[in-house]
Amino acid sequence: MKISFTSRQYVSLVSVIIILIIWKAISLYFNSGFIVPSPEKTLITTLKLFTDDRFLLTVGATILRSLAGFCISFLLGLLAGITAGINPYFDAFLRPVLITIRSVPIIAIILLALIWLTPGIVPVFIAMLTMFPFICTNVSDGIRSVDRDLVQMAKFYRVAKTRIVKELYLPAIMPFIISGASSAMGIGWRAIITGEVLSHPKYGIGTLMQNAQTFLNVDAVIAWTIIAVVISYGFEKVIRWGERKLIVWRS
Amino acid sequence: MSLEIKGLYKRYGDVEVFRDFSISFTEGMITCILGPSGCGKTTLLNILGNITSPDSGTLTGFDGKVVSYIFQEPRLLPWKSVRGNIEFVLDRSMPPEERKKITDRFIGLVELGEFADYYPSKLSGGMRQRVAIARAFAYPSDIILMDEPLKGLDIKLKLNLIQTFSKIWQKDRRTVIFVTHDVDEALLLGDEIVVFSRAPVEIVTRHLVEIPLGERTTDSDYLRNMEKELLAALGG
Repeated sequence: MKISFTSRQYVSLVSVIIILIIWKAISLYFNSGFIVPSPEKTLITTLKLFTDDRFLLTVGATILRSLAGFCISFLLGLLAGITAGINPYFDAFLRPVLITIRSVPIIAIILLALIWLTPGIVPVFIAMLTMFPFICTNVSDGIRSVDRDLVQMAKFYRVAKTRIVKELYLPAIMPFIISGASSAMGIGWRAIITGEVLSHPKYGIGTLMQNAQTFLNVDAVIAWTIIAVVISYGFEKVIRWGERKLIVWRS
Repeated sequence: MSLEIKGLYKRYGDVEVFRDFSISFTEGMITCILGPSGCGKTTLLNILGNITSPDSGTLTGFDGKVVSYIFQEPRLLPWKSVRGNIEFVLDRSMPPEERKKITDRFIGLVELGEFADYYPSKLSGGMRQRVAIARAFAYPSDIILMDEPLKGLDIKLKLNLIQTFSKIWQKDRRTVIFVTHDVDEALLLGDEIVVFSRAPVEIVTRHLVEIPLGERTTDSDYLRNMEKELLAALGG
C-alpha cells in the first residue's frame, strides 16, 4: 500500500517536471518574456509579489470575497437544500432555477452584475451564484439519501425531533455537504477572480492580473495564477482536513 | 395481567389484513407470532407500537406502556459507537452518569465490552444485532417488539443471538412479542407460539412451550413433535 502510494507521488512529480520542461522549451522557442516568460523568471516574479506591500491586502481581499460568497451560498444552499430534500414540491420549484443558474455562462452573469452592483460586490455575487447550486443539490441529495429505516428507528424509540436532526440527519448529510463545499470552492474561486478581472475592485487578485495583462507583464499574470492555484489548493486541504475531523466513523 | 386487542380491522387498499381480529398477550412472557410472509405480522407490531393506527378496534393494557424494538436489520447509526448507539435512545432527562451506567451494563450483557467504542462498520453482522438487542433492553420499555430479527442469519449466529437474548431476558423479564416465519426460531424463543393464517388473519393455533427458555435444544422430542404440529398448522 505504502509503496504504491509513494510510486504514485513519484509519477505525479515526473508529470510536473515534464510540464516545466515543455514550458521552458516553449519559452526558449519564442524567446520573448512578453509572450512566454521562462519558468525561472516567473518564479522570481512570484516570489517578488510576496514582498509587495499590497500583496496581503490583494490576496486578503480576494479570499475575503470568496469566503463571504461561500458563507452566503452555504447558508442559502443548506436551507434550500434541506427544504428541497424534505419537500418534493419545493424541489420541483427549485429545479428549473438551479438548471438556469448552472447553464447561464458565468460571463453573462458578470456582465449583468457589473451593471447592477458596485465593483467590490460583483465577485461576491458571482461566487454566490456559482456556489449555491452545488451546495443546494448536494444537501438535498444528502437528505434524500438518509436511511429511512434509521429515521423510523429513532421515531419508534421516541427520540426528540431536535436530536433526530442533530444526531441523525446532520451526520448523514455531512459527507454530501463536504463534497458540495469542495466543488463549490473550486468553481467559486475561479469565478471570483474572473469577476475581479472584469469589475476591477480596488484590491483583488483579478484586478492585478488584469493590470499585468494590460502592461504585457506576462510573468506577473502567470505568477498571480500560480498564487491563485496555491490558495485554491489550500482551501481544498482545509476542507479535506475538516472532512477527516468530521467523518471519523467511515472505515 | 394481559394485553388485549379486540375487534381489530385494518385494510391496505384492496387487502384486508385484519377483519374482526382479537388476540391477547400475557405480560412478562415471550409470545411468538408465527405466520407466512406478508400475513400482517409487521402490521400488527406497528399497531401495537402505535406507529400505524387501526381502522377500528380496541387495545387494552397498552396505555402508558413504553415499547422498544428489534428490527430485522440492526439499524445502528454508522457515525455513533456501540455506546453512542445505545445512549442515543435514552431520554436526555436522564442524567449522563445514569445513561452511561445503563449503557455499559447492557453492553456487558451482550458481551461487547471491549467493543464499546467501535463504530458499527468495524463489527460483524452478529455483533451489530447484539448491539440492537442491548439497545432494546437499555431502553426503559415494558414491551419489546421484534420483527424477524434473525432473518437471513446463519444457524450458528441465530443460536448465538437466541442465547444472548435469553440470558438477558431471564434477568429482565419484559413482555416480548416476537414475529417470525421460522418455526425453529419460534420453538427456541417463544413461551407461547401463535400461528397466524394468511390475510385476513386468523389464529390457527396457540401452543405453550413447557420447557424453560435456555434449556431447549432443537433435538428434543417434545420440540420435534411441536414442530410437526406447527408446520401442519402453517401449511393448512
